Amino acid sequence: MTKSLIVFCPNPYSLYTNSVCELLIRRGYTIDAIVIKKFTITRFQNEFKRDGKRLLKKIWKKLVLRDTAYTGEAGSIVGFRKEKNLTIKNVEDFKKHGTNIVYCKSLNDAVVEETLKRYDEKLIIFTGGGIIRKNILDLAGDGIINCHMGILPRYKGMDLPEWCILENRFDQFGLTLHFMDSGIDTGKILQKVSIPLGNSSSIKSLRNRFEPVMVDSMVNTVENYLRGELEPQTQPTGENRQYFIVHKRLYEIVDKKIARHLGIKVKD
Amino acid sequence: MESLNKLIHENYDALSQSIELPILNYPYLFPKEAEELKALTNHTIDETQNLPAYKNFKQVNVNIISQIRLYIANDRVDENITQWCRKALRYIEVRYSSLKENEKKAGRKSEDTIKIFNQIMALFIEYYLKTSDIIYLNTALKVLDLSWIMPPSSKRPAYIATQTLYDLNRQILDKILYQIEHD
Repeated sequence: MTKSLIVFCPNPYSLYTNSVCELLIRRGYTIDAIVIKKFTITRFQNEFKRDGKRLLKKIWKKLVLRDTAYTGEAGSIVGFRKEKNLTIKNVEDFKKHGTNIVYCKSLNDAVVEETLKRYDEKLIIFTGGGIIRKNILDLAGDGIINCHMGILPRYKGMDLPEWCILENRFDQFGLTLHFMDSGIDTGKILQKVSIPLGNSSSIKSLRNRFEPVMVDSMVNTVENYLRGELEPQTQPTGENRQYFIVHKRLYEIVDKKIARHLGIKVKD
Repeated sequence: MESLNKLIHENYDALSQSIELPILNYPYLFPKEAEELKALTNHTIDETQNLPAYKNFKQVNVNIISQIRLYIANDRVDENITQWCRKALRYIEVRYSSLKENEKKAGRKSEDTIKIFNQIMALFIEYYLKTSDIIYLNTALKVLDLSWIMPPSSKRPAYIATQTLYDLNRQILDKILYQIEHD
C-alpha cells in the first residue's frame, strides 16, 4: 500500500519546505497534506523566550527578505534552487498538485490530529515548526522524519555547527536524518551526512551551505525509506549530552576560530 | 582588578570565614593575589556528610554547591558530581527566561538566590577549568548576564564574599575568553 506523505512546515514561504516538496513531486510522489504553523503573537512570544533577539533576525531573513537574503552567497539554497530550476515559493501553490493545505496555531493542535487521522499509512516530513508532542507522535504512522543539523548521537540540541568549532572538532559538521520521538534528537537514525568545512570562512557561509544539503538529504532519505532501503537504527542510551544556544561572547569567537583553522590572518 | 584587591584586603577576616569563595585555579589566573586567595580558600571537604543525589533545583543551597566545588578542586569528580553539574546546567538553560520567577515561586529569599546563582556560576567555571567542557563556560556566561544576581553594593557582611566572588567570576570569564580567542 502506498504511504501518504504529510509535510510539517514552519511558514508558507520556507525555501526548505518548498524545495523538498517540489523535488518529491518531481520524483513522482504525491504530497497529501502540508500542515503550516501560523505566525501568531503566542508563537512569537514562545520563540522569543527561547531564541531572544536572534528570533528577530530569523524573522527578517525568513519572512521579509526570503530568497533575497542569500544574494551573492555561493552554495546557498537560492543557488541550489536555481540550479535545480525549483520555482515554487509558496506552499499554497502545491494545491494545484492535489495537496491539502492545513493551517494550525501549533503542530500539536486538534486540527493536526484530525488531519493525521484521515490517513492510514503515512510518513511525515518535518521541515520546522517546533516541538512535537505525544498526541501527534502517536498518530504519526511510520513516524516523523527530521533533518537535524548535527551528527547524532553526539551533537544533540542547538547551534551545533558553532559547537563543533568551539570544541575544535572541524571534522564533525553534518546532518542526521532521524525519526522524532519524545526526547530531544533521540529518535532512531536513518542517515548521517558529513559536510566538510571546505572554504567557508564564516559561520554564516557554512550554515548557508547546510541548507541545500538538507533539502537533498531529506528528499533522498524519504525516497530510500519508502523503497525499504533504510533500516532505522536506535541511538545508544548513554549519549545524553545536550547543547544549548551559544552565548553571544562565544559566538563572536566562532568566526575567528574558523579563520585560524583555515590559516587566514585574524585582526584583533 | 584594583577594586578586587581592595575588597579582599578590607574584608580579609570576613572572607576567610566564608565558604562561598572560589577555590580552583583562581590563584593561577590571578598570580598577584595567589597567596591571599589560597589562604582564603583553604577549606576542606566535610567527609562526615554525604553529598545527596540531585533531585531538583529546590534542594540547591550554598552549602551543597560549595561542597561540590571542593570535590572538583580536589580532583574527586565522580558520577554524582557530574550529574549535579549536568542537571544544574540543564535546569538553567531550559528555564533561563523564568529563573527569577521560579525562585520566587520556590519561596527563596532574594539574598539566598543571589548567593546560590553566584555559587553556580563559580561551579560552572571551575568545572570548565577542570574538564575543558565548554558548554559549562557557555552557561556561566549566561548566568553572569542575569542582572538580578549582582550582589548589592552594600557593606553588609553577608554580601562581602558574594561580591568578591561575583567580581572574580566576571574577571576570570574575561580572561578565559581572551585565552580561547588567542589560542
